Amino acid sequence: MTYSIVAVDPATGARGVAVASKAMCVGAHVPWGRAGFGALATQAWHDLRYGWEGLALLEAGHSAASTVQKLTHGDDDAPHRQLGIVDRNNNVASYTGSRCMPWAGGMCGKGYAVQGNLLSGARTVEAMAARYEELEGRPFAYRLVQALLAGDEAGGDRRGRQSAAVKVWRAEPRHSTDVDVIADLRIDDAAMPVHDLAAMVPRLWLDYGTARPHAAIPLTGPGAERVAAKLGVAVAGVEEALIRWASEQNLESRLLPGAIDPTVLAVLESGVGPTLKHAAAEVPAEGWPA
Amino acid sequence: MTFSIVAFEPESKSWGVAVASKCLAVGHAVPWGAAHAGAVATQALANLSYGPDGVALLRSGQPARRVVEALTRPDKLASQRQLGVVDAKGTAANHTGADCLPWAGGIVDGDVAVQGNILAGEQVPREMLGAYRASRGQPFVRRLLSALEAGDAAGGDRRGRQSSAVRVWREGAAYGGGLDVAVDLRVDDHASPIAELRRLVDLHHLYFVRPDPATLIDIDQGLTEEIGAALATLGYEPEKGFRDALARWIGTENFEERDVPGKIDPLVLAHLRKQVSAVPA
Repeated sequence: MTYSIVAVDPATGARGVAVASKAMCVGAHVPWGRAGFGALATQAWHDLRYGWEGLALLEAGHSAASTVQKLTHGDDDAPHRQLGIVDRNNNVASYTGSRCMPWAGGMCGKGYAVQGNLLSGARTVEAMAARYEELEGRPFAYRLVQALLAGDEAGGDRRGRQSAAVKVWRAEPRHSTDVDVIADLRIDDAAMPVHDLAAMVPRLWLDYGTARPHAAIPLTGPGAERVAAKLGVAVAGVEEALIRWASEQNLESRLLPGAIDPTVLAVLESGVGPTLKHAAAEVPAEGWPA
Repeated sequence: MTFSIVAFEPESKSWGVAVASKCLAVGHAVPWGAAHAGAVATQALANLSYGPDGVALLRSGQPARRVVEALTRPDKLASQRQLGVVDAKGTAANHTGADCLPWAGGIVDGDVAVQGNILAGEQVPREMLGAYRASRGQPFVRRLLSALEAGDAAGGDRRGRQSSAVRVWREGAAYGGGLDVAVDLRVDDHASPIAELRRLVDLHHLYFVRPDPATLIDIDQGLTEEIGAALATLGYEPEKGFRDALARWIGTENFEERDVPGKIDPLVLAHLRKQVSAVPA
C-alpha cells in the first residue's frame, strides 16, 4: 500500500518522514513526530493509535526498537502492521508484520529506516536507501523526497500512484511541541504525486527558508538605491517598503534589519519564477527552514 | 495573505476550518482544532503557536472571545495577526490586527467567523458568510467549501491563488474510529486550489463514506458484461472469476467501504467507467 523513509538529518538533528502510496492523502495518516523526541511512519493495515501512542512512548524515552515492541505486543493485528521509527537518540527501527501484503519489507541504515508493502519488489526500498545515502550532505527535505523519488522510479506501490508527503520536525523543540514542523508538504491525489512533491521543494526553500545574514547586502548607499529603485520608493523609506513588499511575497521569514537577503534581492530583480528555476537546478545548500 | 471560515455546525456536532491563500501549503499552518473543544484559524503574520495554544484554551472550556484575548494580549505582534475561533459551545470570535495588510477584516455571526487579509475587499468575507448560510442542509464540509468558493468568486486574495485546505473535527470520526479528524484535505500548490479542493472532497466522500443502500445497483446480466469487459481492459482477468476480479479491483482502488456483494455502488461504477475510458485504445 505504501513506502516510506523515516530519518534523522546528521547535520541538523531534524527528523522527518517521506511517504508515497496508492491511497488518498497519505500525508494525513502516516507521518507522526515531535521535535526533540522522534518521528515515525505507521502504515500497511495501519492504526492511527500507533501514531500517538508511538509518540508517547518515544517521549517517555523508549528506544525505536522498544517502541516497536510495545506497540505490537498484544496487538492481534500486529502481523498486518508496518512501522518505521527514529528515536531521540537517533536509533532507528523498521518493522514489517508477517502478513503484510507482498512485496513487503524494510531495511535500516545509519540514521534512517525505509519500508514498504504491496510493492513491486525489494528494489523499491533498496533504491530509496541507495539514493538517500548517495545524497549525504544535501539538504534534508530534499534528500528525503529524492529517496522517495528513487522508490517511485524503482516500481513503487504495485497498484499505482496517488499521494505523497514529506514532514520534518526540528531537532529540539523551540515553541510548543506541535509547531516545530519545518517542512510539511502534501500531494493528496495526483497522477504523479512524488514528482509533484519534488517540484514543491524549491518553493519550500524560497517561502519558508531563512535569510543568509553573512551574504546580505546592507541597505545603505548603493544597496539602498538599488532596492529603492526596484520598489519605486525614496531611499529614506526603503526598509519599510521592503518589509511590506516581502510580506506580500511570502518572503517575510527572510527579512533582516538594515539589510536585504540575497534571495530576496534576486526575487525583487528577476522575479519568483527564475529564482525557483535556479533553486531547482542548483539545490541551495543554505537557507532552508530551520 | 489568506481568507478562512471557522465554524461549528450543531446538526452534525462538527467543528471546521476552510482556508485559501496565495502561499505554499496554507493547510500546514492555519487550521487547528479538536472535537468538543473548538477550532482556530491563525493567519496574516501567522503565529503558529496560536493553533495548539488556542486549542488547549478551548479544551479547558474557555469561550472564543476569551481565547482571542488570551492569545493576542501578551503578543507584541498582535497588530499583525489575524485569528478566527469557534469554541466548544459553538460561539465564534475573531481578531484582525490593525497592521494586517489591506484589505483585512472579518465578520462574526453566531457560530461562524470569516476573516481574511490582502483581500480584494470587504465583499469577500460577506460573500463567504452568505454562501455558508445559504448552503444549510448540505454536508458540513461542502458548506465550508461553498464559503471558500464564494470568497474566491468575490475576488479572494488579491495576489492570486496557490493553496487551500479544509479540516473537520467530529467525535470518533476518523478511519478506525480512534481520532476525531473527519476530514483533512490539502491542496498545497495549484493554479485552481479551490476547484481542486472540491474535487478532493468528492473523492474523499467516494473512499470513506459508506454507500447509500437505496442507490445500490443490482449487477444484472448487462452490467456483468460491461463490468467484465472493463475489468478485462484493466487487466484483472474476470474470465478466471468475475467476483474475485471485481474484489481485486475494488481493493486496488481502496473502495472497500463501498463493496457490496451482488451489487455495485453507482459512484464506484462511474469511477470504473471513467478509468476504462482513460485507457488508450
